[in-house]
Amino acid sequence: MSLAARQTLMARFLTEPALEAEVRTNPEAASARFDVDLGFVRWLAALEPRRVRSFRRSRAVKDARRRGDA
Amino acid sequence: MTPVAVGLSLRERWIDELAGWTTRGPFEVLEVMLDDLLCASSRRDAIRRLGRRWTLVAHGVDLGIGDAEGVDADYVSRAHHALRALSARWWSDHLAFLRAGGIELGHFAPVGDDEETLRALRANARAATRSAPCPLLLENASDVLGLGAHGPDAGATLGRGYARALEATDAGALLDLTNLVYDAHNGGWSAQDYLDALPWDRVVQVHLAGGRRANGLWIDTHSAPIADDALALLAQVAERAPQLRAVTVEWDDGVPALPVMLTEVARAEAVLAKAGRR
Repeated sequence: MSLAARQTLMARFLTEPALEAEVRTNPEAASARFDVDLGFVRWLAALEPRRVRSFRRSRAVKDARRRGDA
Repeated sequence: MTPVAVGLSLRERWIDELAGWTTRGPFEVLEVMLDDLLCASSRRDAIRRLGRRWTLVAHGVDLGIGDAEGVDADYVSRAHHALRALSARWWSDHLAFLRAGGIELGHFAPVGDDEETLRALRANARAATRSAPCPLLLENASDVLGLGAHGPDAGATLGRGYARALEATDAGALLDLTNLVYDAHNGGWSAQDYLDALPWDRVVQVHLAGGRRANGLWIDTHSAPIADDALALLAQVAERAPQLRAVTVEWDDGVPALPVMLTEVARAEAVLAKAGRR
């Protein structure tokens, strides 16, 4: 699996809660659906949910700051 | 060893006040956000004029040196132009990937330590630094996701990873001590092990800031006085890093009045003075 493909899947995992849930619930099915390495999908699934939420909050704060809202 | 400059990461709130100073005051360096120079803004000239009194360095957030898809050539070109206009001593950005598959993360996602990642870093660094008017430093971005390594050797593994990335990119290090101590706290590993793995001759700048604890995690929000744990490591850095040239304090959220920032800068200055680097 190429670096670009891993980064794309990670980016989607970090920004799409539905995809995150799919990966966590059934990594084997997600691996088949997205045609990506099962080992990498399991690695994503093992990320702490609170860490992913923290990432999204930090991202939202940065976005707001860039827009001048913060 | 060479004296180390102290300073702060410039924020809009302080620009006019600093422009009115008739002396340099108690610090020597201002870190300018590259974003502020790239946006169409009347403030760019005001920022540049500050360079008459202070050494200017630049800090970016959009390079994406870890992006498998490559860095944006237009962004690099505009950044170089801005750095040249600023006469920046050096510029920095984060060891991270920012965009993939059409998604702009807007926040730093971690890079791995595998050969394919190192090849991407090498190629991106060549693209980013070719024709650059000053050297590039890479910052150890906060490991928000806790991807790091695990187990008793985690600190050393992560430090070696940072070292390999710096070697692959031939970049200097912007060592963010607050990121380091918070990541170590959150991950349960040793910040000292991380430091012991670093290429000390590449460390040029240190960032210091304060954050907060939320949902059991320490987060480098740049919204508080310098974290004590981070400041405590500065003395060691001062002793071990012969190429260290500047220590800057960051504060992004609830930006305080300038006297508050100068108190924070003075805290860093005191540590450097005690270490004989002032």
